[in-house]
Amino acid sequence: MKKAAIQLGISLLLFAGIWFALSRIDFVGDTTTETIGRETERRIGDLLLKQLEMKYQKADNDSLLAVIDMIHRRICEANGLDPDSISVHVFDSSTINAAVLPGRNVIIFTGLLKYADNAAEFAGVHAHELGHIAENHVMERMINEFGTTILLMMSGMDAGSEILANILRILTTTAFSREQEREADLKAIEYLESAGIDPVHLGNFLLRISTMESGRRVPEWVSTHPDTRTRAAEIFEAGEGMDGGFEPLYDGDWEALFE
Amino acid sequence: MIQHPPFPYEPNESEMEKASSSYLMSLIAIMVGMPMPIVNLLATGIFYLGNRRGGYFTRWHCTQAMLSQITIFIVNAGTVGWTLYIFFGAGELSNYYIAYLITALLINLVEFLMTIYTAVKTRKGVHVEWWFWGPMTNAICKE
Repeated sequence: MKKAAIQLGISLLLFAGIWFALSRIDFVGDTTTETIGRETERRIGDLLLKQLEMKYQKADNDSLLAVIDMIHRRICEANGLDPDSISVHVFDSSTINAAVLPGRNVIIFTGLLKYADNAAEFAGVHAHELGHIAENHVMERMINEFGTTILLMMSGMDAGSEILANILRILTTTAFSREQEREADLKAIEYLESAGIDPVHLGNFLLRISTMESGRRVPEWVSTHPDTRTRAAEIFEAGEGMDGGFEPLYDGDWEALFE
Repeated sequence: MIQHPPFPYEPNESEMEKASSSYLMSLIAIMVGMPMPIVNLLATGIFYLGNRRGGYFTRWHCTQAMLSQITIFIVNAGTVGWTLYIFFGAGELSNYYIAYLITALLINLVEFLMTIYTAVKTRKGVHVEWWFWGPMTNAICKE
């Protein structure tokens, strides 16, 4: 029996070795971050963040940052995500926008936070952005748009270059595909439900932002997140099937956080 | 991979034929077994059950054939399950999947060649012990 066990061990190792060695071959033209490498992704993210910091001031409202951190941790912890593996950056700007940058970075502008009616609406948007991270949409999109070689070259650039500025502009002002938006919405619904937050608030936010008075400038978050009305309807539909039992997210006065 | 240790006794004609057939069973079922790996296992399993009271040589080789089919079944079930997950579930075509597919194909090919070789040898009364499955069979099948 000992001989059989040893031979089984060797066979399993051989099996795993062949499987692993073959998986290194790019059969399907793999466009995942595994090709690029997490380290390169992180470097690109850092460069884009530096670029952003040159343009915007980081928010220093401690009470607001504490509430955002609390929401971030509640969603992550309820869904088995390590909250410290995802960095949340808040920038002072009237721009109504939030986006995801490579290297597991979420950027939020205070304009969007002020536009949210309550903490739960922001939690909905944040869960949606976390959905983009979980589904690896940013790197998929960057590889599709720029190609692996450019991205690898980019990781060696200096912040401040024209190319980085353009990439940042693309990531923060142009849309993901509809399919990717839908995937991020589904993830958001899942995350919110697990965290005991009613996803209806995300639907409310989407609906409200899509019906902004004509003549007013369309928020950036709408141009980067298309089909808001349809998506809001889908979120309301998903919310109807839930058991309820949602818990309060933030007892304080949301609007007072911006005073 | 393959050894020919001496067998405790000289098997008779009927035992040789049955031992050889236990391997042929899995070959016959292989065309059906590709999309449905359980068929191979069933074919060998049924043959094993039918011969469990036979001579030691027959029982030994039926056991080795069945144990090898259980292993192949696990590997092939993985392939079928993963493929279905890609076609009908949320799975995506990936390098890991293709690599698994090729690895499984290699294992099947090696097992196929070993099966043909062993079927021929056992028909001539030569005892053939496979890597891992041989020692396993020795541990399970007693004279």
